[in-house]
Amino acid sequence: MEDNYQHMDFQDDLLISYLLGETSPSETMQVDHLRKTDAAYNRRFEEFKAVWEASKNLDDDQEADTQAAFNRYKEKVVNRNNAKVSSIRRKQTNTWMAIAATLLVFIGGSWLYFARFSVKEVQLITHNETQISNLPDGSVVTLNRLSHFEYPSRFTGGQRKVKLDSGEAFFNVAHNKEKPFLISAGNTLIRVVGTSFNVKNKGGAVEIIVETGLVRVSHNGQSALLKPGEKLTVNNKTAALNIEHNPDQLYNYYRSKKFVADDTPLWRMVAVLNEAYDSHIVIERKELNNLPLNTTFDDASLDKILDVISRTFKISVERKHGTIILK
Amino acid sequence: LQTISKQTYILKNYLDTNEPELDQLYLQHYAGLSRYAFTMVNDRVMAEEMVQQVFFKLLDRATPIAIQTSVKAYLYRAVNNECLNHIKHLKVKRGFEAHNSSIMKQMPDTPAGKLQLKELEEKLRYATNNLPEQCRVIFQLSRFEQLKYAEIARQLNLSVKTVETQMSRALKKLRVQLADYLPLIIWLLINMM
Repeated sequence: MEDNYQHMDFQDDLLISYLLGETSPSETMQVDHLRKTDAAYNRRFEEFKAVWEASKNLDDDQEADTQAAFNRYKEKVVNRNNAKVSSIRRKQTNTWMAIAATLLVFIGGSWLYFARFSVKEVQLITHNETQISNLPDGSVVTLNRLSHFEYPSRFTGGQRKVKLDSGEAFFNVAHNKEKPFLISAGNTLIRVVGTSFNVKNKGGAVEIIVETGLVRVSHNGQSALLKPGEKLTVNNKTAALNIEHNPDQLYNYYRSKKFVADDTPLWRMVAVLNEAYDSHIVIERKELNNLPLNTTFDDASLDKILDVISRTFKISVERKHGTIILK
Repeated sequence: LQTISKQTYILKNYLDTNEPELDQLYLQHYAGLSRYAFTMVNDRVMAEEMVQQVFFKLLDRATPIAIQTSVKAYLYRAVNNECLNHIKHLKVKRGFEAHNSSIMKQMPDTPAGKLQLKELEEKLRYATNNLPEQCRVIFQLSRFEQLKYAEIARQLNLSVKTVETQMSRALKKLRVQLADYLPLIIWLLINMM
């Protein structure tokens, strides 16, 4: 097949250009003609086409979410910068400091030797602020307000076990197939190897939304596998695991400081606002419940948001004894 | 958008490594770069990590980088090298065969046809990973971003002739490397249409 190599090589170039639609009309005619009249030539074309078609499967079948990836990147940049500050300080230490430090290492060494064997449980409790925290394995946890999270100062054994006692957190778990990452939230157990997802634990009622990767959830002997864009809620009374498509990006508000409403019904927006601002907003007329809202509030105050909502739907906002009534 | 994207296609003799500039580049090229990394490492999380690593390294540089081609070509090259390093590391860590079989193990219930297709994909991935970097970037832009020769040439600051030569070099190499599998590929293509 390769005997007339030089000649074949030239024809290959032309065939490939033809396959990619880069040939001139006269070249196209030439190739068309050869394909019809020369079976060996046509077979060679089929081979190139096959390689080209098969290579399509190498591509990721999902659209990249640039914005989400960018947020994760910036999060890591901030953490790196913090780490760098301490390393710069270290450079400025002088010789005497170095000697003192060496002594300290000797003294501390023996203590550390024993301390290594003890693993401390770290408690993170947030009140009015969100908090971003790095775990010993490189995973990043963003805690919402009023949350209680526990993790060990060092992950030992074959698993990385943490606990979300209450509240809400977003996990960006460092990839490690050998050491699965386990989160217990109430009676629900979440198991991943390297993904990002949101977990909410409101008195045992757990809600999980997946951003990237796969998440395995088990609860009372039942188990489910979640994919990106899916949302799972655990009903505490019936113990049923309910999976649905996650309709909006509102769960993300405490990380992005943004409320993104995209055809979001008013009741849903109100529920999220009540949670975020500790407010007590009620919708008085039922027919207002499903009004669709389309806007983004970027780090806005509650007053501003309510103002926009009231003007959008031409409804009035009334405040009475700490309750805000939309009518 | 047109004016922003043009900026990074043209030949600059240096690349500023300050944070705002890099943020801009990240947003602009993430989709393409992560896709490129995915075709090499076959893992979405890892692909993102590869792109991040490239940008971290840029951030760590105190001085602007002198570049020969376009900024876009430079970034693809950096991601390419990052992925190759990662793959090399993986090979050292558990041996390539073990890595291959672990991919197989993840889907025990797949029918034989799908399994073969998966195996074929691995071969193809392996073959493309062995293409020279420039050749591979051009292949990628043509295959997955569906760019014409002229467009690729402009973005990478190369001549159309070079793009054409590299493209046919890529396909010729892949054809030779996949020679054993070609009957299977053609059979699959006909039967799946």
